[in-house]
Amino acid sequence: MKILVCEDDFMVIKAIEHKLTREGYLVVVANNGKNAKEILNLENFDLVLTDLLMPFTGGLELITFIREEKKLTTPIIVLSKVGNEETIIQAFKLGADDYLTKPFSPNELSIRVKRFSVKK
Amino acid sequence: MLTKEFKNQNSLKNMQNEHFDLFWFILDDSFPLLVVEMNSLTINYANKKFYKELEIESMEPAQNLEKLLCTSLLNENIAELLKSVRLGKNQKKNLHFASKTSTPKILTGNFFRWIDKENLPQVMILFTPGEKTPYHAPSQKVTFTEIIRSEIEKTYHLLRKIQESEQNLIFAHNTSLADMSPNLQQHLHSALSKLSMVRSFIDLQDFTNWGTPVPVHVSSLLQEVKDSFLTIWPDYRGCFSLDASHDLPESVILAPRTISCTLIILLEGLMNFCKTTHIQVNASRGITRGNLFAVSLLVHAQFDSETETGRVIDSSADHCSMHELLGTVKELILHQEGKVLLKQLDENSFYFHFTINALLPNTSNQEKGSAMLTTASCQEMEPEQTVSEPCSKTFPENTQVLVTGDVDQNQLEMKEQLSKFGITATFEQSCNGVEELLKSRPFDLIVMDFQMPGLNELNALEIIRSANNTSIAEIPIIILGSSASGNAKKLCINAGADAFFNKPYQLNDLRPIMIALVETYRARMTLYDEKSYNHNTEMEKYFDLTSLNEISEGDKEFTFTMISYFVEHTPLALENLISRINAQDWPEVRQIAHKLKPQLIYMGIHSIQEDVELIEQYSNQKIHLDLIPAMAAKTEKHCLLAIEQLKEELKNLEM
Repeated sequence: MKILVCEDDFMVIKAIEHKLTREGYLVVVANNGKNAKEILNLENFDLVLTDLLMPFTGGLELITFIREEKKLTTPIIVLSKVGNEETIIQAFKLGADDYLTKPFSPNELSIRVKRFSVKK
Repeated sequence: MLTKEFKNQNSLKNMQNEHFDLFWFILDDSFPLLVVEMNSLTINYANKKFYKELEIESMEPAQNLEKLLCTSLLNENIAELLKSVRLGKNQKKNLHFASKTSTPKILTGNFFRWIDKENLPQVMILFTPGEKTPYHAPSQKVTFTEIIRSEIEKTYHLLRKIQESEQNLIFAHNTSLADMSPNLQQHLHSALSKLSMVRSFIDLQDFTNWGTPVPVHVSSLLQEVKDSFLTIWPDYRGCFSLDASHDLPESVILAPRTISCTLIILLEGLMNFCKTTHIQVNASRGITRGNLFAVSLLVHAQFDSETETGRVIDSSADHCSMHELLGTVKELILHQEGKVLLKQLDENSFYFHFTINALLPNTSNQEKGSAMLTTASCQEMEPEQTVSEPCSKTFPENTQVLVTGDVDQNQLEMKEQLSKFGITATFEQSCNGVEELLKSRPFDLIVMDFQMPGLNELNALEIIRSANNTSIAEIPIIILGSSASGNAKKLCINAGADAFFNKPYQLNDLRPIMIALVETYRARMTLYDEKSYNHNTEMEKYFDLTSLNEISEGDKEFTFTMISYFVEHTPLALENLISRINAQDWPEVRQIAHKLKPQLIYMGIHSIQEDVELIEQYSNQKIHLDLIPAMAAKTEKHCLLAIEQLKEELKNLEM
């Protein structure tokens, strides 16, 4: 299963990459939404994990890009901080499938990702 | 006075044969089921979860509740239960409960209104939930312990009334004393031990009269309270504890309800926190000009002719600009030589913490000398009434005072007089390097001569107050200045001085204040030692890798990468944060704080996580921007300390 992680924080990326790689997933990292769009134009993914607040292109814009422009049904998990409920709701409206509040435990991440791999 | 402790319903059952007139419950899930049968009094309380476990479908209303006052802080199930009771046959007029949105203040209000002054309960039980119970509004950053403390204080007040009527009383709670914080224990014991001291001023409050606003001469009322208080407790030197919750009415500042509310609070503060000079005001919700005005009114005890005639900052507006209002209050407090910390928590609430030099030494004469307590009545005092009399109180044993500044005639005299008082004074020409001196030996008090332009003194104040070592950071400081030195007083008090005296001064005027400050400082240090002794060794470590280790799942290389990144990149981020704050580039400040947050979590630097969160919040909302630099400085300091320690950790990982 190939996962695109779109996040601008090095340590968060490392934590996600570490866990998911250990679980046998193939992880590709994009440092912002713009970068993610470029990657998505070249490759297909089974799951997208995206932060919301990022430089250049934010998470909401990325979700719109995936759903509206690319017309992809790839599951999207939004990574957000606590207390950002309104943006999360907006993300869901735009087509996100699930969300994780940062900081999340590795097991929580693993379970959420597994959910989509099972569905698949 | 009998205090009983119990932790669960079984121990409560053991008290079945005792007679109780009143039960006061603050219920939550820590009592999953409570069935008490004592004499004819039966109380049933259960929550849904428990019923579910027992496979009982419907809840039976509680029986015979005429003597039960039940208040619920948290649990909607309790409200449901009580609703069912209200709707049932057993509805009784004396049953009160508060919804989960109630504040402790409302609960207390219900409580006091319910109490029949003519027929006080002889024996009462207070139930309180465990400390782990979350408060209903976590955003208010009020721990449950604080809520409970507040409730216990309110209850004490009742206890005092009962004590006054020489009836019996049982005070019981479901948390063992050993589980309480040392602070709470101390307050509890101190309040209990002082019950017998309260007599006359209780009558000043009429709990049943919450009626129509009437003009009340606040200053005379307050003076009356103070006089009564000093009569029965002549050597009091302490502080006020104030709580201005939203149930203080906005537009009826001079209504009896407000007066009684505020007086209760004031008196409780006087009674329970006599060993500290800190005042904490939690204005939890619905901040209005009226509420804040009520607070500032009490804090300053400042009822000038304008306020007495009803002029308040604004008596009609429901909500006003928080900034504007807090600014006004802050100014007023600073004017009264207090120190203020205001933190806005969210749009509707803020945390308001300040210290005010409200020392009330043992005779009214010191008020002039201290120039600290400035009630209107004090201001009205005729000079001849305030001639100092020798203070009979002595300094605590082996008091060490550090005096800095040029030893002029005044200070030579001071040296002589201090030695007569039996205290050891050390004189230093300058306050430069005072921190080193404080590190080398302990002092109980610093007296600083303010020399224009005062930069050395202000610098020294800043260094002392920001010292890591609490015994240095909290050492009392008195400034001797001149009325000609402009806003020196304000600057010094703001920078952390405890008192400011104009020269020339009489040492006898200073003496009670000095004694009070030394005693307070020593008491605080004792408390601090007790409280933090065991934690000190743990506290010295600025990071905690539990979370990172969990993520790494034993992969040392990953741990190494994460720590290395943090060690390498954070100093730059911090530097950037400080520079953006100086440039008042708030969007960028917010961004940096936002990015710093997860990193602090991974590295387990818990001591500053809240600060960084607030920096992000304040810079985002552009509020309390004046608080950001201090929080950023603390963040930088703790991060850099953590980084130094993490570098050692990296070496260990390399090996």
